[in-house]
Amino acid sequence: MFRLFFFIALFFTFSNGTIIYFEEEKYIEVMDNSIRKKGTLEFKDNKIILQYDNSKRILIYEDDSLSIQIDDEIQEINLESQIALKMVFLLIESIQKNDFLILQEYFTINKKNKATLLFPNKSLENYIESVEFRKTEILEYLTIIMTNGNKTTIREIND
Amino acid sequence: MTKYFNYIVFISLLSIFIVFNINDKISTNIQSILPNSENKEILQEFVKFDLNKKILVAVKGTNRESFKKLQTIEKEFSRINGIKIAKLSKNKKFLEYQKQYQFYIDDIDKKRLENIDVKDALFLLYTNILNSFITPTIDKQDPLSLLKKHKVNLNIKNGKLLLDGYGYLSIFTIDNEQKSLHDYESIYDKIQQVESQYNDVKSFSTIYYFVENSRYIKADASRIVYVATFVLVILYLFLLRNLKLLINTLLTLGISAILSTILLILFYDEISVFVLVFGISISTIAIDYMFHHYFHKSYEEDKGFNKDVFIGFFTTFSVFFIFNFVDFLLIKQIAQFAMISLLSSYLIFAFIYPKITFLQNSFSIKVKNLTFINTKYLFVISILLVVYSVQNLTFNFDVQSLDYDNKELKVKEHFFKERLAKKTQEVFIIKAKNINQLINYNERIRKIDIDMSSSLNSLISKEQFFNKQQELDSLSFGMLKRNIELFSAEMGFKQNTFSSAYNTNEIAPKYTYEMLHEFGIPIQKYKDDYISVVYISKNKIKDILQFDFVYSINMKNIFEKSLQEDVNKMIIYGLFCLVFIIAIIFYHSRTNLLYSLTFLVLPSAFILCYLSFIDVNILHIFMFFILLAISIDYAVYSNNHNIFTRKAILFSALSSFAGFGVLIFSSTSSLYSIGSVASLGIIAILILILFTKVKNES
Repeated sequence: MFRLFFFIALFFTFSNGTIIYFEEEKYIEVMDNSIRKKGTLEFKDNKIILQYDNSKRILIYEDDSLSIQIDDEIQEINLESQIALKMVFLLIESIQKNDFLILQEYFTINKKNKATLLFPNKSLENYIESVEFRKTEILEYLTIIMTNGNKTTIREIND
Repeated sequence: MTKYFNYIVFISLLSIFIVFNINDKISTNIQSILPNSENKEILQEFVKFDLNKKILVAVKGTNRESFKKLQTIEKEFSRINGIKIAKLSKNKKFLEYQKQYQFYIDDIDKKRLENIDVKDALFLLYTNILNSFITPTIDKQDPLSLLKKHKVNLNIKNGKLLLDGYGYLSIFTIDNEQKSLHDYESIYDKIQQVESQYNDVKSFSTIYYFVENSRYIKADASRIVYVATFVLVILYLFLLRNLKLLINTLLTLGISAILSTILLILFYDEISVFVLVFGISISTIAIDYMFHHYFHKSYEEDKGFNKDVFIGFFTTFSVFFIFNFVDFLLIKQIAQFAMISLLSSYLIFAFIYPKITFLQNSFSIKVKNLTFINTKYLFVISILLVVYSVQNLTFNFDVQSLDYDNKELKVKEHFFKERLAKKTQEVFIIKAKNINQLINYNERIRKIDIDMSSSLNSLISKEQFFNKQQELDSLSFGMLKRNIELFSAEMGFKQNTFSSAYNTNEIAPKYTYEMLHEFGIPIQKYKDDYISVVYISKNKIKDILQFDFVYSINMKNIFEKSLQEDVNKMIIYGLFCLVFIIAIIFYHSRTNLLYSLTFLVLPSAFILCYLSFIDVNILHIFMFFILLAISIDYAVYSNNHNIFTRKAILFSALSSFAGFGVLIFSSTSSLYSIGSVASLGIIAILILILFTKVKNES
């Protein structure tokens, strides 16, 4: 009985969510240095769950809000004061769903060759300089350039 | 030529009315009837602030469909000329200013400053940057987060504001060029057109009050004028059966109304539609003068000067002349309108009509004398009722109670206010000689009400700047800066990254009116002063209103005191009128004194009895005294006891009811107040005419 229950639970866990592996490269202006990290993004029940390799921190984005889970402790993050973070999740969600309706609220969207360029509207222009992404079968890259000089690129990779 | 006098004068005046666009100067705004004062001027300035030019649009739900619906509505609204969407972006210049003076605007967390270990704090920052998903924004001026930032928590989803418990909210701003009622009407109609296409969409703006109330009052006033005209037409056509007289009377009334309007417009920038409606109603009193002349055959034979009619006219005119000195603008203007109107009508009825000549058609109305009430008893009972009722009067000094009560829109306004959490605060105006003083005044309010909100909270006066500078100088920022430089380099931060950290050597900001406008701060010039808006917690209003630089924009608060003074003045003027009326009675009807006085006390008893059950407003009092003046005309006429007079009186009373009585059909409080008092008074007069007998009547 226990085995049956375990298999049913496992089935639902994998059938409902999509997991992609990614590599993040970010240039940190205050350190004048770049770092690379790998992790997973799981899309499940309108949630985006992000976890870096070898890290206990799990970022859960759902319905325009973000929480960070470390072991059993959950911390709510005010995304209004972390515009860049909010935008990245929104971008990832929109790209994954191929639905740019909400993104149009924040960006002017242009296509250039196979890449998509996003220029922030007035509400974001103090924080984000530009966004560019290219998606084929997979997310080839998503680059966000901030007005303070920080730059982050996310690429989907094979596990 | 005299035969066409009414036609010629009416057409001439109507041409002036149309050519000079007098109609545009007739206002439906309640403010146009309020007493002139500094408060009223400030209230008018307040209306110019952008916050009064917002249109709130809410779409139910927060799902994708609702979002899509809002986006479509926003696109359609954006096509409406004169409004544009208000984006949620922060003002760039204001942000730069706030950044520059952040150490002067925000408070330093002194406890954290005293206990801080710079090395540990920088290490924490360092690991946060490395571990975060996206590099967080670091304030290079305050890398250790020593400033206590004032957080503004906006309820936002997908870049749209959320209306608590309902759905998405979008805000539109009305362009400054859109000022007139006509502009507002055009915007309102287009919005309603879009809104009607969608379910679960609500919108609200204060301009809706201007448009809806104006339309309602105009429709109400027109309805009343139509009903009154209809009653008069019935009276003339079916009872008098004299079409020529009807047309001429309507033209004369038209002449007096247009002439009064034109002359008032010469003295005032605008007049209220209430003045016009009251004025026209009051003008119908003048029909009495025509009836008396007509039934006494003055329009077919040379009967000479009718002294009774003159006394009737003179009494009424004099009472309006006395009320012309009341400060309350509505009453002053009505009194002046009535004086011009009555004078012109009287002159035409008394001196032009006999030259036009009107023959009486025979009609079979018999005015029977149904005398069965003893005047003495009626007089005593009336006096007792007056004494009892006067003791039970309660007054209402809220000017808004005179306006049209737009319940539906109030519900909508409450719906938005409640969800925007504005119900705990009320907006006030502050006034100062210069911008620096304005900021200082704002700070004085904040000391009493820490929860108050105002855009001025982010500005610092010269005094605040120097005080803060002293405070900052006393803090040990020097050592802190050296440690930051030392440890940040050790940890791997880029060289000179924090070179601007905790630099507090700024010069005092110099604000200009234009600069504050660029920042998006609500400020207006008012004469030689500056005014701005502040939102004060409701439980602190009493304390804040003690400052003489704070002005309420709540009409009840503003005008309550002046209205109270005006009511007192009105009663004094009214009593003066009463003395005058009694003097006229003594002069004219010494032989029938008791009978004549009953024309004062019975209508008074009827009206005061009714008023003792309701909240009495200034218009009730005004109309009460006016009605006594009219009533005494009837006493004067009744003393001339013959069948012609009786007919004339009965027709006069009916036509007065057509003029005034129809106002009871209005839903506008002020019109209804006048109508109710007038109707009761006229009923009392009719009772006296029909059921009592003059002492020496033949």
